Amino acid sequence: MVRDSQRPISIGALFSQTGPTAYVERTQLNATLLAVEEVNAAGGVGGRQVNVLTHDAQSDPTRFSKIAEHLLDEEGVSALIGCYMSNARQAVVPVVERRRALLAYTACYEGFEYSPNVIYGGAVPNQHSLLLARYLMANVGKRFYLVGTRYTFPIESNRVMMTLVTERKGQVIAERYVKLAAQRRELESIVEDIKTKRPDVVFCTIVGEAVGVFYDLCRAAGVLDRTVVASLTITEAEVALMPPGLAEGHITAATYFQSISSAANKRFVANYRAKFGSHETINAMAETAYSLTHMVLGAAGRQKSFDANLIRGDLARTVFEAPQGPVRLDPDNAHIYLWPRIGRLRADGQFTIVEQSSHAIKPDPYLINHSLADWDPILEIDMVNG
Amino acid sequence: MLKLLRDIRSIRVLILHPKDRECDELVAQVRRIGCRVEAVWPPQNDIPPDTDIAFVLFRQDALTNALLRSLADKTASMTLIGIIEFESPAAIEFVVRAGAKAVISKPIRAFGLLTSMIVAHTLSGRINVSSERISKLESRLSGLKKIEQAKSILMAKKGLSEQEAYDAIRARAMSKRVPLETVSATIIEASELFDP
Repeated sequence: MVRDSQRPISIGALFSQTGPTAYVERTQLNATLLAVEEVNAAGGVGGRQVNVLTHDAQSDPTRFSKIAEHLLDEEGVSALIGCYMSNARQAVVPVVERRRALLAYTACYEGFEYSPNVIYGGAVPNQHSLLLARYLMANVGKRFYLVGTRYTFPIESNRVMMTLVTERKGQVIAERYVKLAAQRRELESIVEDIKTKRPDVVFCTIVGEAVGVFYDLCRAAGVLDRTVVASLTITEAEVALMPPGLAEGHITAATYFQSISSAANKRFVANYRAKFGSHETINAMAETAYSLTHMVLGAAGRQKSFDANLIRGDLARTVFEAPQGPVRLDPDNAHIYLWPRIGRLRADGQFTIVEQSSHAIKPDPYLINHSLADWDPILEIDMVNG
Repeated sequence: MLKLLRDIRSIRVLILHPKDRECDELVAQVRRIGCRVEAVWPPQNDIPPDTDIAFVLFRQDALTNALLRSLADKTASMTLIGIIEFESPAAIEFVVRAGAKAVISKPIRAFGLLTSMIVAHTLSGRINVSSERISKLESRLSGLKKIEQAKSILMAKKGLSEQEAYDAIRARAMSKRVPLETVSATIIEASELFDP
C-alpha cells in the first residue's frame, strides 16, 4: 500500500509533436523532461516523484484546449506547462481559469495579458524588442522592411518596432504578412519586393517551418548581400532546420543563447545533450521551459501546493539560477525579470553574443508607448566574446 | 496610433468599490496598465478634480444614488465606467441614466479592462467634443436669427434695403469692436423699448 505522501504527482506538458511549430515545441518538451528528471533526482516535489504526461497538440489551438481539459479533468495533473504560439496559450487560459489551475507559459509573446492562473516565463517586448531596435539602428541602418506570420505576436511586434524606428527618424518601407503554413509563392513575391526596395533591415517574425524557405529565397535572390535579417524568434531551433551557413550573420534578440558561457548554462547544455543526443541544439524557448519547470516545481515543493497564488508569492521571493542568469518573478504582473541579449549567427549554427543587458530587466507587459529613451540609461554594452 | 493609447500612462483613474479582493484585482490591473489609480471607499464628497476615468460599483441603494449625483455635478469631462452585479432592466436603466460609457461585470477579470477603458474614454471624449460643437452652433444659430431680426427692423423703420441694413449693422459692429450679434441685440432691444 502506497501512502498518499509517496504517490507520484503528475504535471501536464502542452506541446506539439507534429505540425509547423513542432520542431521548437519538441525542444521545449525535452527541456521540461530534463528539468523534471533533475527535480526527481534531487528528491522530487515534497518527497514525491513527478511524472510528465503529454499528448501531441499538433500546433492546433483547439487541440491545446481539449488536451488541457483532458489532462486536468481525466488525468488529474497538478499543473500545466507549455504552449508556444499565443493562440495556443489563449485557448488554454480559460481552461485553467475555470478550474483555478495553473499554467506555466513557456514562450516569449506580445504582452497585454494577465491571468491569476498563469505564470508567464518568456520575454515581453520591453525585454527584447527595445534592445533589438536600438542595436539595429546603431549598427546596421534605419530602413526597415517588416515581414511576419499573420497573428497577434508578429503584428504587435511590428507595431512596437515601427514606433521605435520612427522615434529615431528611421523608415518602415513595408509591412507584409503570410499564413502560418505559408506557400512558397507567397514568400517568393515578398522576397522579390525586398530585392526591389533594398532595405537595410528585414525584421522577420515569420514563425514555423516557413522561415527556412524564406531564408533560402533571400539567399538565392542575393538579398543577404546588402540586407541584414533580424528577428525575435529565429533561434538555434530554426537555424537547425536550415542548411549550414544559410543564415550566417543573422541577428536575433533573445534572453538566451546556447553559447552563454555561465556555469549554469554549461551544466544545462551538457545534461540536455547527455539525455537527448550530443548534436542537439538548445534555444531560448527550451531554456524558458527548463527554467520555468524548475521554478514552478521548486515553489510547489516549498509551498506543498500548486495553488497559483502561493506559487506566485514564492517565486517573487526566490531567485532561480537559470542558464540565462539569475531570474525571479515580478509579483505585480506574474512575468519574469529576464536578461536581454543580441546574438549574431555564426556559420556553425551558434550565436555570438554581441550585446547583453547588465542586469535582469523588469517585465512591463502592458507598456504601449515604447521609447528607446527608456532603455539608453540602463544598458551597459558588454562586448562579450569580442 | 490612437492618441489615448499613447497617453494611457498619464490617465488618472478613480475606483469606487468596497475594499475587497476584487477591488484589489482591479487596482492591480489598472496599475499594470500603468495608470495612476486610487481606490476610495466609502465614497468621499470631493472627487479628485483631475480624475479622467471613474469605475463605480452600481448598487440600487441611496449611497450609489448620492454618489452618482455628486459625480454628475462635479466632473462633466470624466468618463464613467459601471461595475455591474445585476442585469435586471431596472439596474440597466440605472447604469444608462447615470451616463456610463462602458460596463465591466462582476466577478472582475483583468482581461478586457484596458479595451473597456480605451473605448469608454474615447467615446466620452468624442461626446464632449460633439456637445461643445453643438452648443457653439446653437449660439451661432441664435446669433444669426438676431441679425435677421435686426435687419428687418432697420428695413421697416428706415426704409433700407436688406444689403444696406446688413452694412449698417456691420459698420456699427466694426466701429464698436463688438460682434454683429451684439449690435443686433441692441437694435432689437431698442425697438422693443420704443415700439412695444
